[in-house]
Amino acid sequence: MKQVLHIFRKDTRRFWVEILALVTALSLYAVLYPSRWNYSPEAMHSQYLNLLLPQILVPAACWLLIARVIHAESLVGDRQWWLTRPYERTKLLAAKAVFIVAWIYAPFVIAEAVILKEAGLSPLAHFAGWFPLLAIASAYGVLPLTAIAAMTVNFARMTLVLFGVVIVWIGGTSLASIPRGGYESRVPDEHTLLVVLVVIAGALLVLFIQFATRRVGVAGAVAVATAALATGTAMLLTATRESRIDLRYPAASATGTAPVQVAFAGGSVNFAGDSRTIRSERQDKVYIEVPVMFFGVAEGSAVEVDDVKATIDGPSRGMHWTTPWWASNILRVLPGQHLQHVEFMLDREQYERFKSLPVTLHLTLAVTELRAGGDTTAVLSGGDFAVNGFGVCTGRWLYRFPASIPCRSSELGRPPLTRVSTAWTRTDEPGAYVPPGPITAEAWADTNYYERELFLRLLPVWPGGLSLSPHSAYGELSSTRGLELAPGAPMHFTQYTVTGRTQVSLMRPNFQLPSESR
Amino acid sequence: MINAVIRTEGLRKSFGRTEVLRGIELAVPEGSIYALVGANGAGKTTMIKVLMNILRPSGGRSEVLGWDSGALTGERFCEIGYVSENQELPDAMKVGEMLDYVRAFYPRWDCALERELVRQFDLPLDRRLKHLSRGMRMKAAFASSMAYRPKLMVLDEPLAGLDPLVRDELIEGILERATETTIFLSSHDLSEIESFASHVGYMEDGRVLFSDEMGALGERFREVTITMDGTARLPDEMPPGWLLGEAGDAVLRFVHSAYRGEASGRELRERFPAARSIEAEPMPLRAIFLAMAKSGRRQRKMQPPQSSEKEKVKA
Repeated sequence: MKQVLHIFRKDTRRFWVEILALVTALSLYAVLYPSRWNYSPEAMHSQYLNLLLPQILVPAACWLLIARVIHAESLVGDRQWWLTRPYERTKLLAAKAVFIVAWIYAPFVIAEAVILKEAGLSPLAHFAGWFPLLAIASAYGVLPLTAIAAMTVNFARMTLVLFGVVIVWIGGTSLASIPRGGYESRVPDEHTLLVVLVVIAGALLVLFIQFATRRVGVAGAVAVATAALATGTAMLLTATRESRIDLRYPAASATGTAPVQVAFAGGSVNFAGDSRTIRSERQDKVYIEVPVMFFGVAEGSAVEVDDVKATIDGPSRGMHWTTPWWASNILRVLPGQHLQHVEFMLDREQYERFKSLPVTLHLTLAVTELRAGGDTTAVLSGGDFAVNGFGVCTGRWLYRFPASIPCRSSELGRPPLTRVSTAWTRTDEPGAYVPPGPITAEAWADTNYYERELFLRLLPVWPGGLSLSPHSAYGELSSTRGLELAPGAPMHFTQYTVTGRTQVSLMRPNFQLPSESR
Repeated sequence: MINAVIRTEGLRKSFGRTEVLRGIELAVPEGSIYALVGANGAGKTTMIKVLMNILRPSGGRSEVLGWDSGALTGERFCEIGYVSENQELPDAMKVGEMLDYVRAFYPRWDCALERELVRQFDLPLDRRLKHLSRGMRMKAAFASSMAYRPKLMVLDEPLAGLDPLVRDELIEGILERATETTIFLSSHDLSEIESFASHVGYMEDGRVLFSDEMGALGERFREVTITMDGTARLPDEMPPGWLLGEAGDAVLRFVHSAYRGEASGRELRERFPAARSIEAEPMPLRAIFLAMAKSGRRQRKMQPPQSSEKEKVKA
């Protein structure tokens, strides 16, 4: 231990400038990140520069610090003075690990904790959440950088190798995404963690080989094998995505009663008038929206449509095309009868092929069944107010239409999908007409609900928001004149837990693809 | 059997297809100042790096202080001091910082000796190593490798490129430690080696061609001049141990590398009964080294090239 601390102290004294650079970058990050929720909702989008800066500076400072500390006792070459000194290799590795923990992980955790604190969230409330966060930080940054540093002789070489790795990674992931043809699924892929585990295991093996034996050739081969395995795993995951979604969402007939019934809405023969294309920036795709009636959801339950798959059969044999699973617009359905617009995407080539023909359209929806569980009541405030088990919301922008209540929750312990309801109160505003009866507001708070890119989970707080429109018994009101969401109003937060997943299908013969809107 | 601090048996090292060490057999006696000499590219540095476990051998075995050199790591280096001409030092450190830093690694670090070495080498403790001259850097490396009184000092070309004053200071430093330390050094600076080495080994083309005590070596090598009455002629086949034979009008000259005093004198007289005079002069180390080197080159030229060399020739 004495030798470990001795090397650690030496490195700390020697690289204080690099340490200071990282601490400064992390401080900048901790100071700037809260702007994501401290500004008005309109201004939030303009804060990207504030975020971009630390998001470039922090990894760059980590990169520099790791390179410097590992190359201080370079493991590559035969001229290093330390090779013939009484260094114990295990202790050298331990000293570098202590350094990285002390000067990279600890400041990072402190910065994250400061951000959580600033957000009004307890850093200790979801202690176990730190482990996956640090695992992702290790897999996406620290361990690969350390492994590359251990296989290179200096910063310049390391930079070259790193660029090579980045190019291979971008190439690999681009290659992996080709089979999906731009159809992105919203279904969380827990198997992505396999790639993380492959990277962590490979990087650890490289470090072990280098520190134990200094066999650069062997370590390099392991690194290349790891990169190939990680890319291969990513490609395999992409290639098997369709079948794995099918497995994850078995057909409703296989699971018994469908949690929701669906039917095309609109005219009985051709309802092209009700469906429409959506203008898009993408030239190679056409987005089509069709009205669908959802009903039959059990009381106390809800369903969410995660992905949509469309199959089109033309009038002649061989005219058949099926899209991959694709994340459509967010659709959540409560008990009752609800008309929703389901969106699907077509390749332009297929759209041109089928647009003038009557086709049979099959839509398959990947549906998650949700069950209402815990119910929390919070009191609306003009400032920040905490919601037990959910996070912190703010009532600073209630004057907007619809009323906006930004909420934020901890990435360390994501709350489940939550439904929020409250009631508007009448004001005595002259000339304002408010329908009789209660005026309610309901919204899904999807803060942190969706899986995102893994590296984004490094951000400790993910802001979301509630848009609360006034609803009367006659439908949604077009303005909030004569109404207010007054501080002191109770707000109910109902959490929904996942109880199952299934596919539901609907089919429409003689469907005419809508003409394209220009 | 001598008590050897370094012993190698059939030690081989290749870099790809290039064989740099070709079965080295070597024993460095305890307490000796052993100088390994050889031309540039002979394989001296590679052998030392294999001995120090910096490079991995391709075959054979080597022991240092009784340990397999492949197992030399960690605290075993408390017994070994290693200084090399091309060694990278922690340049960002000041001399004093480096000494402070390495001190903690050695349980037997002698602070008084450290102070003495600093004074003797006139080391500027508050200057960074990267700002020092080559000689000063070598002296700093020496000081940091001597202050723990290692049992073995391994020095790879320690005197190369140094000015005479620094050389003298370093040699003086080496000699002062020689009573308690075995010193193994490589060099092609023969004049200095000759003045203080007790043993010498000659390395050429990846092999140690001879390894002997300095005195015995001086006895063994003789520059032989034979003056004949008539025309001098070398034997068609040179006897083993005769190097660089050349014949003038009435004079034969060669280097005898296995001279055994009076016995060899008798053999020469029997071989050349018509000789007017036979002189066998002792040779300085430099002359021995040159003779060996020239002889080696001559032999290589006469040998048919090996397959890879043939390819090179074709290319």
